[in-house]
Amino acid sequence: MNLNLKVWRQKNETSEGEMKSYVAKDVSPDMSFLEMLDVVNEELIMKGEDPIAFDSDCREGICGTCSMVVNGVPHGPQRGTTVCQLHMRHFKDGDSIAIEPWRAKPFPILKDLITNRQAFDRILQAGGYISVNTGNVGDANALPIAKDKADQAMDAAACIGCGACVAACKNASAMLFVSAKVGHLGFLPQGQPERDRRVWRMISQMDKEGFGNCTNTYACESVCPKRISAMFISRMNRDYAMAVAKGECNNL
Amino acid sequence: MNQIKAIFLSSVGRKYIMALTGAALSAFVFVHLLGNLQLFLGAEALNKYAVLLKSNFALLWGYRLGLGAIALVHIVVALSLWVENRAARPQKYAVNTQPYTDFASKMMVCGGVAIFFFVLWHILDLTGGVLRPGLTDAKAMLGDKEVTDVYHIVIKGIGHPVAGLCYLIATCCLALHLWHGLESIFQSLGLRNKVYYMYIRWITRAAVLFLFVGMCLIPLVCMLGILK
Repeated sequence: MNLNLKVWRQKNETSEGEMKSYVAKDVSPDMSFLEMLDVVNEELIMKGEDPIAFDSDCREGICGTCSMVVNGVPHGPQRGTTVCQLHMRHFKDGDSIAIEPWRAKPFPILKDLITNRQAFDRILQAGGYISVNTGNVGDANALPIAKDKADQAMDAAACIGCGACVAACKNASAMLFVSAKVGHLGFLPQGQPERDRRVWRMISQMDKEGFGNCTNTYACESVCPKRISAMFISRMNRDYAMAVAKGECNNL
Repeated sequence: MNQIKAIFLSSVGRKYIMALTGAALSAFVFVHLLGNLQLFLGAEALNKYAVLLKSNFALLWGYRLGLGAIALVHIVVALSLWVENRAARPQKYAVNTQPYTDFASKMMVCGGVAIFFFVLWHILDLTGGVLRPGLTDAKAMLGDKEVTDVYHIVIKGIGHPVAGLCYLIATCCLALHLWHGLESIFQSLGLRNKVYYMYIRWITRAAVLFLFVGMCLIPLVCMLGILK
């Protein structure tokens, strides 16, 4: 099949970008979305043009590197998958596809579809960890954890930090990402000693980065490739209130 | 001090403020509606209720000023969030479909502004009697005392076709605002979870529906001349 692409092209962080039209010819329905772009890029390189720059790494939907907004939806029309796992069989011959990078002030565009997502790293560095003395691996069941707690922690830990939640949110809010990171440690006994400090520091850092504020539209959970629930945001809101009430905000 | 800053300056803290002030304003709206539904009980019931509301000067003005202050905080914090939210995405999407964002949540700011101007007009017109001179002067006898005839003021004031239409439009804005707002209160305060979320959703929506029907009924019966 043949597709009409409109792709955001931007030379570097400071230059102005624009949507440019391309035609993807002879696309196989078995190709992934990124393979389709690879084919377009090969053609561009043959013509001596600059290929479309985009992020990708594992192409298995688990690393969270690929990041593009397809027809206004982060990671494209298929729910619960990253764009690298989106296959061209979901499109029809002659379709028009608009491809854009994540758009948010804390995610500056570096080139074409690649954004700088270090803001997420800084939020994790602020408190998304537990402090333990490492050593040998502990015994498997030395620390009993209830099944439902373990399940919920695992649901939150599924977050791959791709940033689709920010891209989908009309306010470019990072609440779903932060709540998943706060949540997955907050459910486990290992996460309890630093629970208040974690939520306080991570939210403070999130605010500093310039993300927008959550208005409970839940667009984030709809586009999340790992289907993280916005219930974690509710839980984080509660944790934050506890942290402030206990005076965690006086410790910095 | 740090605690106050952590609430008033942070993203999550301001969610609490929006939720708590929103809850207080919603509670007022429901009480206001229930009070005014006494219109259907006749002139005496409504006029008696109006006398009761105005019987204690300090309580009345404490209530009015308190409510005004809560509304002011709700508006100021909402505007501060709105400005930040716009700044968080300086460059818009070329294709901006927002397929998973429902209409009510997109209309929070527009609807809120509309409600603000409606309430201003409503207070000046019906409570203050400034905009339509003579409207609020009507008197009625309650027992052997002469009191303000709220019943006929309401029917005349809201029964005017243009005024009635404004009430209907404002009711739509308010219902849409609360459709998203009431449920959001629980999420923002961290009270929504996997067990309760469906109850929260349907109970809040039922409440909004009740509000919508009740608030539409009053201008409709006044405009159509069903109550005289």
